[in-house]
Amino acid sequence: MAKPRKEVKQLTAKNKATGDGVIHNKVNQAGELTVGVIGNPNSGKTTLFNSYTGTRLKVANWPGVTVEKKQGAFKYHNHVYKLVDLPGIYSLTPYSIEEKISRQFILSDDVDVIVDIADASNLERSLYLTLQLIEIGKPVVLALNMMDIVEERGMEIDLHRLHEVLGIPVIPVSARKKTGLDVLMHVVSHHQEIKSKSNHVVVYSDLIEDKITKVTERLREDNPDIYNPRFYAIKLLENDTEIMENCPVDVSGIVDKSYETEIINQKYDFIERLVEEVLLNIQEKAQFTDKLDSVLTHRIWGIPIFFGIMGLVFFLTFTLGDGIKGILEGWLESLSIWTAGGLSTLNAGPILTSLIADGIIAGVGTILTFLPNIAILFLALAFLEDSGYMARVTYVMNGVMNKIGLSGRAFIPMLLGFGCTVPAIMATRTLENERDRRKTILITPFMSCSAKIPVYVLLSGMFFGNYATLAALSMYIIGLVAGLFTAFVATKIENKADQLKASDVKPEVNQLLIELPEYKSPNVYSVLLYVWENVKAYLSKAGTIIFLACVVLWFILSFGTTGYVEDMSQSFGAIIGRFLVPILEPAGLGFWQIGVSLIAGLAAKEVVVSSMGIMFGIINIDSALGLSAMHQTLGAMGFGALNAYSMMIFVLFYTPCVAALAITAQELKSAKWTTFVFMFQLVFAWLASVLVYQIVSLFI
Amino acid sequence: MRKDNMMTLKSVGNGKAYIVEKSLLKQPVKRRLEAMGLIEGTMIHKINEALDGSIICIVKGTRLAIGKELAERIFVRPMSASDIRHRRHRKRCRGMGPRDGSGRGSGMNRKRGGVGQAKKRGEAIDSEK
Repeated sequence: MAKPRKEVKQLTAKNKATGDGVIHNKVNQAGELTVGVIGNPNSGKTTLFNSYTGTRLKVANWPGVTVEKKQGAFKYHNHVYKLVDLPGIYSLTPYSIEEKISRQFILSDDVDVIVDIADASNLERSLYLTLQLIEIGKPVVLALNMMDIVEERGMEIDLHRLHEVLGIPVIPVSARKKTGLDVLMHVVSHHQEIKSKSNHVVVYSDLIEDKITKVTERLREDNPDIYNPRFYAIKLLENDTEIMENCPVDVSGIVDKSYETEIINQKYDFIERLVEEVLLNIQEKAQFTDKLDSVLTHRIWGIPIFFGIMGLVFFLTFTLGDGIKGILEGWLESLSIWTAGGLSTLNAGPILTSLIADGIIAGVGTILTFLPNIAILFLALAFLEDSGYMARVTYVMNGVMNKIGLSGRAFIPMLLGFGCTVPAIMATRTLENERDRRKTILITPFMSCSAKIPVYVLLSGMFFGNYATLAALSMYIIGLVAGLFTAFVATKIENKADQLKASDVKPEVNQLLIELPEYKSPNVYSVLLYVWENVKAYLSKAGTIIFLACVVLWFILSFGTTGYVEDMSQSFGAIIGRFLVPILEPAGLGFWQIGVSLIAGLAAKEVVVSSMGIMFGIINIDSALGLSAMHQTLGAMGFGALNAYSMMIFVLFYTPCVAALAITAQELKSAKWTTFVFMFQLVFAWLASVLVYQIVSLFI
Repeated sequence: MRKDNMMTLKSVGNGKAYIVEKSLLKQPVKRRLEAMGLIEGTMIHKINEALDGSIICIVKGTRLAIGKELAERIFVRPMSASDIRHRRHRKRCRGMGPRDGSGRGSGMNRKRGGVGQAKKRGEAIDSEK
């Protein structure tokens, strides 16, 4: 998956940081070296990983962006390094799903060297994990990231003393500015030889040290070739359930209670003294963040400001995007004229001409004109994510989210859902509670994803004139309210079920607990990268799934039981669509064309728009000419503004695309729940659109 | 929640520094907070409280957003003069042991249970009074 980075220039610096003066050449024979990149959340692991491997994994400024283990290989001095990027963790005792992944991998035999990325501007907290990693007994290299920020603040870190006390190499790096990266890999390649001689950095109180010694002896008796008894002894004293299961040793008489708190406190004691010694010129910092927070997380203005920001995001998406869209429409127009001319001079048959002009250009081309809207949306989302505001939203929205039985933390997936449902559902891994995850996965598709934008733009532009933007924006509000309401009802049902099972269980709301990173001005490179990656995904979707869906659609709409048909109402598509007419009738969507386009929308939501382009034989349906032509056709069918709004509602709620469905199945790990989610969204969409259509029909 | 001198992170006002006295939280959230640096005896600044009662505080240089029910179970006491003195004292004394440069952490580990290791910080404060 990763392209090898071009060979780094020859290093002149010797292996100073390990301090032992021995140059190891074993790596020559070893060949591949697996390096696990670990550290606190939001400390820059993925940025570092990207720098080495040339990959473009997503980075942003909130804790929990990476929820999956990602591997990449690169060559350095003729050796292959397998780098593994892991989700961030605060300690080796996991809390949520993505953290379990990290711990399992770090403790496995697959890792040759651990690179611990510490946020140097936040040394005290970062070193807590470092101490735990050293205790594992594997080779650890400490990479002090964000050294540029430390220097900007005028602070200094005594790297030599830090190395001396910890007994591991300490390398200053800046993943963003790509400094220190060569030295880091150089040290890694040499350091793999050193089986940490000194996993004994923290000396605990006499009481605990005695117990560690006793447990270690018992471990050795039972298990003579145990890799690192001290680590296991400490974990057993902490009553770590996983270790206790995997390492069954009788510790009765020694471990009379959990010594976890004592062990944590003594580690922090050690760190406090260490930091006092190595960190010089400590500055009162982050006044900027405090000032900004006093506005953005204000107890009263916090929520209005958030909705104001989101309103602005979508307003820009719809209005600003439309301007640029005009240019693309012009290009599409000339392309279709040029193609039609080209095809006739080539004497292409009518079927081929139809496939290209009516199928591909009408279907795929239309989708491409929405690119500006999509790009602007992702640009805005990238700003939110990279500035540090994302994590604040969980705090601001916590009150609302608690009322519906979720923690404010669940709002991050929902917010990501405005971009794309697939990564949003992945992001639910940071929720530690299984029920919270399920509820969040259920409601995240209600947040209108970027693929629904073409549908909203098309339908609202056609029927709502000056109020088009308003009609489109209303979809976001309706989706959010419906999502919150659904979670509220689900929580009520869960609580009822709990009470039936045991009367003494009282409903427990998961409490908010999240680190708020400091604000920073968004990094131009990572913002543009984020936008580009999403635009690229959109383009490749247009070239693959949407293209394929258009070809299939063209086929079923051009052929019927009698072969190639001129009249679409005789085609296979019409036959299929007519099955749905009675079901969609109460929602004002009882037209076979609508039925077909809604089915096609399961492949990807944009296909709803493509299919209408194909069905109504209009090359570019969102050009002014195309719009009015289609408006007339639809109007003649009896499809008016209310029908259009009802269709927007249906598209908003109904089952997301196949990709989202696949990720739902993967994350829920249950066929039963996946089927439920699928059915629920379908039924919900139908009920909502019927409700809107029927109620509004009463008044007009 | 207020009991004698006992104040919780929820009940105290914004802007001042406090010392974490005790947390009555259950696992695994207690462990999580401890891993994030919120341990007994640590200094904590509360800087914000939302309408729903969740708070923002700074612990060991990190901002944490903490829900209301968690904040209600974290007990704090005000910074006393001795805390401040103690911190200064700490800085002067540099409890890390000799800078003998003999490599790999030995400086810090030579004495088992050196300054502040056998003693809990709370006791050290008392002895200064």
